[in-house]
Amino acid sequence: MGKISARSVGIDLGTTFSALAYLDEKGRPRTVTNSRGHDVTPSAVWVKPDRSVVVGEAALAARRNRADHVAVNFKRDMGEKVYHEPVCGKQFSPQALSALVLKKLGIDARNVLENITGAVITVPAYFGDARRKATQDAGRIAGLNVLDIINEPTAAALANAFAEYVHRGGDMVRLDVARIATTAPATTLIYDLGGGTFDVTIIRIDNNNFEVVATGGEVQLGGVDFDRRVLNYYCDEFQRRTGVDPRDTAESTVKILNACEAAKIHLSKAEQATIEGEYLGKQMKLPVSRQRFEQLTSDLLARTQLCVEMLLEDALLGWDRIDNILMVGGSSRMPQVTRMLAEVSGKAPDMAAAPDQIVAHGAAIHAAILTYDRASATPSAPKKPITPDAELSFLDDDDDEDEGGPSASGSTSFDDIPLSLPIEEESEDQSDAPVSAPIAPMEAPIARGIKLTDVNSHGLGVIVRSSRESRTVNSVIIPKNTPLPTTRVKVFGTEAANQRQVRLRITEGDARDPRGCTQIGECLIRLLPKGLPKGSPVEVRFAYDRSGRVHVRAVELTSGAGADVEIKRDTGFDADTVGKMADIVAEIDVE
Amino acid sequence: MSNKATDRPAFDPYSEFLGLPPGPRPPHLYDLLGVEIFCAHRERIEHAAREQYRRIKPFQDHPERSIRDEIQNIITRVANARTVLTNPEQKALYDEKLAERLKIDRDAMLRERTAARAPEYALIVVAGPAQVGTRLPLLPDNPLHIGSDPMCGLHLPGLRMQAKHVTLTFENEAWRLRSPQACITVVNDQRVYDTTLDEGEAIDLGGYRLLFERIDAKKPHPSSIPPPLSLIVRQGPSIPHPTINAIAPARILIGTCETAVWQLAGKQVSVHHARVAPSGALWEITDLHSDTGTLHDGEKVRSAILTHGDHLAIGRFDIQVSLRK
Repeated sequence: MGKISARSVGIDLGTTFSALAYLDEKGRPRTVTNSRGHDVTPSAVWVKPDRSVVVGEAALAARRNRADHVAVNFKRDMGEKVYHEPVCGKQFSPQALSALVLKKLGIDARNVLENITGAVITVPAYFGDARRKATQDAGRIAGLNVLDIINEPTAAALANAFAEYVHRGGDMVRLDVARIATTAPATTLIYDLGGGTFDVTIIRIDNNNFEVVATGGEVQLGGVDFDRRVLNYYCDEFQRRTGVDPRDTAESTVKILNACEAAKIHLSKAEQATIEGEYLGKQMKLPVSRQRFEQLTSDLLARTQLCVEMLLEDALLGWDRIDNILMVGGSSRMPQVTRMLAEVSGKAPDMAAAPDQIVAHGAAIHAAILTYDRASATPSAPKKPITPDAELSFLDDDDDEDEGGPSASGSTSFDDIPLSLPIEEESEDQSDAPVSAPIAPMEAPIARGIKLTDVNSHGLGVIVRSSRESRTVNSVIIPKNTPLPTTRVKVFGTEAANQRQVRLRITEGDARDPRGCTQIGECLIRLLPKGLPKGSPVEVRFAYDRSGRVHVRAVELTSGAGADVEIKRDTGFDADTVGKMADIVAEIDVE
Repeated sequence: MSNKATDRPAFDPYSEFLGLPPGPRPPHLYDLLGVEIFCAHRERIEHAAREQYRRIKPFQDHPERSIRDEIQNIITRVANARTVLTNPEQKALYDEKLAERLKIDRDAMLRERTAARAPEYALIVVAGPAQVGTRLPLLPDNPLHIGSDPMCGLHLPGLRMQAKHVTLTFENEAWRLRSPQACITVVNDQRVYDTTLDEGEAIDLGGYRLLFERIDAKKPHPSSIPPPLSLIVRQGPSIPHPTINAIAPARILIGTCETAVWQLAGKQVSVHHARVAPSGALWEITDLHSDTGTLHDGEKVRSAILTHGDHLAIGRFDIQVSLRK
């Protein structure tokens, strides 16, 4: 079998499993099988003392004996500085561990593909800024040309629409765009319960327009939490009967956790499963019925239900406005998920054809669209570099440079001068310029004119002082679930007379309480003219572009003094670090 | 569930993130949601669960890992509280165990609570196309839905009324009105989405005006109030409600405004065109500086007393006044 030449690929970088897909000559999504012949590869990294690394099934197996040499579930730590425990005695960043998984997927893909020109990596829709950036960094560290980061449910919707089109007899080579989407516009709720994260997204498909209406989710809720419940149930019983607790050592915990996971999977088909475990020479067999399993995990399921209902409430939609429910993610196979969704919605939910692979398929489709876009575009204007001017500076936490010359009134410490509440608001949506995607000549034939509009999952705003509440509050400028790209403007007033500088702390989060928000950047307007009255208007403009970058510009309107900043994240690595890490990862022997 | 007994510092995430008063931790499910113990008010429980979820969720990226993990547990507990307390069987089981644990006589407590809660307030329909004069006592243990759906506790038919337009619930010793974004509801001339009601306040919704009154409110002497009034469109463009009825002390805003009790259409009708209100024992119409004026028996008036059989002209509408004795 000859190899397929150059391709861009889609990668589902999951908490428990990852998958890589591409489009074949006929434009059909195909999942790359790994060296063991499986479609999905466990996201587990075994670091050996000789610095070589094993990813996948073998790593999971090794975890049974050397739990401290194997990292798992690091997707949950994405956005953190380091993986929550040392691996083989060394601290690793979640990005590096993810990069190793990506490298392994790439190695397996080269059995089928000659060259990987670019990759789209998926993230949970509810991932915030830091986690997204970390995912992008992981791709770069793995040496991939990361074309885009796309939301998992959006990818699933894309793949599902294509699968239906093919199922209805559509031809991928001579693609008929009008027939891609179902005949009538439809609103689909995508319930994506994966290994470690939960996403729910409402997407409206009207012909070739894919429009995300709203998205929500939980970044710490997935199949592994269900496994943990069974583990605790088994171990509590083990302790009661034998007096010893297998959870005391990592290795025995892992062994029993594996058995619990197997029991969970078995219980999706059977009414009864048995968990067998052994610790300190003592053994125990424990039968678990499906009913018992559902009892043990009912609160986790309830949490997904609450999340779904809140999303509908946020989107001002009732179940009557949802036409289809699509279940994605391996954990959606649990029968109670279907039952719960059917009960609350009064509709029969559909299981995605390949719930583990559909996300990777959608990413591959998106990658093909983008590759063509970029290849066919006229030499695109180079990305505007960030040119910090004299009036703009990034501040480190303990940086209290003050050469701007504070006013006589004194108290111009940066932290103490937030802005007061908004004077007026306006918004300028620019969502009428969607990505257009003609057929890629070098790629497999792919939809012409697919338009994809996504929304932001978290609000973006600034910290201001509310004089009415006499405290600092988070003033959201781009609320969550706003279609992207978008530009929003709010005008605030300076807090004191003769204020010489204004510091903007840019937040991610929807809470009014600043403690409930993450600070993702800041910018400072300095050298304001003397003698400005209190309440001088400061216009703050947030522009959220299609690639997820946020440009912030603040201007004091009477003087015209301004500052702008492109959001930089604390946890994001700079190009140098990525380069260095990429060199290290490139040298590591991965199998 | 946790197998590790961590020596937790005095930090209390329940009060920090959910604003719960000090008490046993973890709190029982009613305390967790901030509703009274053994509350059987399904909607209040659902609402409380959502509120708590919204309240704590922003903190889930807390920089400290142990707190982050605890926040995850609390979110799960909130979701579970909602499921358990809205499922009658699970709730009965839970209540029984909780009463036993806290040594509370649940039944006696509920009896007492019901006894203590005689209806104190009533809603009176004072103006609208139908149901005018209806008086509905509000029961603290029952939420009241108002809308065009016949299943609503106060069923007010009409094209401007949503199926479930507003919900009234008794919370924290006050009646609270909630109106979804899509429903236009006005309390004391202010558009509202979520508000507590005060005695004597008027609620305008879907072409009706309701009055929120104390049941023991002093009634004026019958002779000092005007008789029931009907305004009927005899000629004019087609509108959802060609007739409006009113009893004192209704005040009817007439205009093209979405929030007007009597909405008339047309370019010649101003947004706030005229107002009809009692004046002593009579009804009086007042023109609100409209562009085209208000005609009373063919004469442009600033204000006029209405008598049976009078004709009013507003825009292209010819309206007849009817007063019942």
